[in-house]
Amino acid sequence: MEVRGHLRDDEVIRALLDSPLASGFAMKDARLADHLEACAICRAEHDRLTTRFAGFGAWARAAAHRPENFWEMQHARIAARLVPEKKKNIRTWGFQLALATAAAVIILAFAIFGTRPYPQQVASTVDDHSLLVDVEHSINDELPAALQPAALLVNEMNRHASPNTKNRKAVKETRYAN
Amino acid sequence: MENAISARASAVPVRSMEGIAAADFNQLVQTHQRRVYRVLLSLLRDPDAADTLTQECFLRAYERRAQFRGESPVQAWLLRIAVNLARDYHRNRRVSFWRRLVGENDSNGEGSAISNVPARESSPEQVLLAREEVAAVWRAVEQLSPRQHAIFILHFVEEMTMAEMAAVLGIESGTVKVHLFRALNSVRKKMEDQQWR
Repeated sequence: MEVRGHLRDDEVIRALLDSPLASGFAMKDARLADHLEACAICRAEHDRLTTRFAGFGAWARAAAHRPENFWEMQHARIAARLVPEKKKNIRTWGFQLALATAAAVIILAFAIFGTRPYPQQVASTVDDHSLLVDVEHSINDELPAALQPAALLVNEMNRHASPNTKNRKAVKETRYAN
Repeated sequence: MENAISARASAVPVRSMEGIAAADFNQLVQTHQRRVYRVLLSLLRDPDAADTLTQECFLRAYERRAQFRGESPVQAWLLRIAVNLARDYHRNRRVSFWRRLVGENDSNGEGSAISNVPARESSPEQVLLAREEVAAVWRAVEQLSPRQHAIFILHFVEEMTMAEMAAVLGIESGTVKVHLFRALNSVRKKMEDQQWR
């Protein structure tokens, strides 16, 4: 078969994809397959890439090889982490149950003790005028009982104050009066 | 060693995990832990992180087992959780910062995950060359977008078909193929930039 030119880079890669490493399916693109069969250079390039990537995969799989005890230990660690997870779920359940019970008790308590009616405000029977009179009385009222001893003391001090001071005060008052 | 094909064969579809018993979940862990770990290790290239996230994957699966509707195989569901965990791990800028700080980056990161691979029937030179080539692929793959990265790993490490990858990632098969095509193209160009012809 006559070969004209060579496969482009993308065609080589397409050929690579059309012949998956693991499957061994026939190539989907007959033109590429025919060319690879006829052209030694393109076939060599295709094989080189195939070998490279297959080698990469094999190497990576070999690198992940671990002795049996590694898997056993890993499994044990996963199992150990799963157990607390289950316990946590149970604990969460218990916690939620306790929380629900407490909420129910609080609601019940409110229902029983919290529904007592507030003391009703008695409608006022005092009219505005009497209220104002009361206020006036309060203002003009004498000192509160608690302050009465202090008031007595002040009066006593004024009474025993020096006559000069008293006279000066009188003069002052007379001056203001004039 | 359990290979990818046998793992695929052992992946028994579970119709629904709703109300799954603890014993059944243990069985699920035993069946899929190797594959989940392998995918995470390939995506992260950090054995400790892969181990931690494998555990996290199963814990998350346990927590969300009621959400599993059985529309896809349980294996695809688990791997979807794993891929999302790996993506979140990469997004964690604090982790990236520390990884850079301790030098666990492209320049020497390949040593942690792939240095102990036994090489049989090869000369030391061939082994060295193969190791360098794989390291170059790793470097190129790590520069892919998270989605292309995941697709590349699922295809070449897990040997998944387009349909299987579509089930894992929750996208159309055609979209998977486009991403894989771009990923391969990108890796190939990056390899050439690194003088790997």
